[in-house]
Amino acid sequence: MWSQFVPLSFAEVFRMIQTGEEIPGLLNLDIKPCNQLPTVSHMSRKLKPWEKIKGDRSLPEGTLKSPMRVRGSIRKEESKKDVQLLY
Amino acid sequence: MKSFKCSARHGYAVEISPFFPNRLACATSQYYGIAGCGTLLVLEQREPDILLLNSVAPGSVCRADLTCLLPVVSLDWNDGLFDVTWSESNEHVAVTGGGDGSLQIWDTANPRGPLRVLKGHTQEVYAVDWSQTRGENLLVSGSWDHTARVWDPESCQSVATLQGHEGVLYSTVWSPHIPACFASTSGDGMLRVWDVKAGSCQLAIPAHKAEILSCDWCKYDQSIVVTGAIDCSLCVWDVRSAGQPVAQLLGHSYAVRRVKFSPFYKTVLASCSYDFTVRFWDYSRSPALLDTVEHHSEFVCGLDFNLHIPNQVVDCSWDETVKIYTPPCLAALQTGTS
Repeated sequence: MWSQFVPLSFAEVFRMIQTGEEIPGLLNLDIKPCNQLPTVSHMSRKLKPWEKIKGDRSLPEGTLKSPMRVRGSIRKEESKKDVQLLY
Repeated sequence: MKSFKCSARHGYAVEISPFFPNRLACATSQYYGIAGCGTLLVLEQREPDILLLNSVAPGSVCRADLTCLLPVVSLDWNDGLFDVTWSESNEHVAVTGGGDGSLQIWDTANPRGPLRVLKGHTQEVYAVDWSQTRGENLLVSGSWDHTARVWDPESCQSVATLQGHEGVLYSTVWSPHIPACFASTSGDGMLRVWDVKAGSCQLAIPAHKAEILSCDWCKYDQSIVVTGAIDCSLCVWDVRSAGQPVAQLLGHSYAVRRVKFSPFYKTVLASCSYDFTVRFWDYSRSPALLDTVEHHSEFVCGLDFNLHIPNQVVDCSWDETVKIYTPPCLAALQTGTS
């Protein structure tokens, strides 16, 4: 199949989609999840380079609430659009 | 520089494994992501099993770097794939986001298909990220349906849907320091920072007057975020005082597609663009531009720094190649956090 494949430009593919032309080599697959458990892990998470630095000056884990004073044209009405918790 | 040709696949995102220094995942799409299927490619940089060394003189010591980028596994999906993230808790697991609005959880050691498919978004999933903060195993996704969703990858349930953006989401990235906190960027020109525990948006910064395609957190200052936009610029923000950017990085001649902060240097970052280039910057310097790499012939969409090998970078492009290299401008920097 690949020996017949001729690379098309973005513009050519776009045009073919708009005109409904058949695009050569287009793969229409029907893959479904296998719902299996993952291969067992044998490795533990490594420290990231920034986590390895001793005595680094990064602040203790926390939220952005302190200290925080945000200036600029931030639209306050955005705060009304809150999270929709599904679970 | 090592290159891999992914024939008939256009690379959208690339990420180096947090477990294996020489392994990477690349999310690709057939036909530029506008038609056809997608493929998750897992590649490894290593010496090939068979080498022809006719040209090596007998008795000579060959110290050449004989490594190549070689395929480990190729996993197909029904629709284009736009982003990939490796699991932080299992070295075999990676997650992709697809054009059909679903997330796919893959076991790269099991080529039978995705383990699970997470449905919920109603349009393309353009961004996925696995939380790096220790003790936390959460996935965040950003979609063209204007929402971000947070998922528990073990139960495969959506635990929150976050609304607020008024345009398509292009990126969602967990803070590497603050648990349950992520940043998102959108076609509405806004950078938003979310607290999942509080269940709301903490900050909304009008970072660009153009669509923002990418953002990333500084690894050594938990308040610093960089954004990259269609206006060709990068902006570095201190989210505590976001009236003006800390730095504005100009140089790209087309949209900035992805931005990444260095894992090793506090003020160093990289960007890739629709102008076919990758650029490296140090915003503590003036001028900030360190170097421009021009080794692609199409949009460069994916970019990542190697967490294990300082100064090594991988990128992927619509020119059907993945490239891994060590830019001299990074090797010239002093190691350290400042």
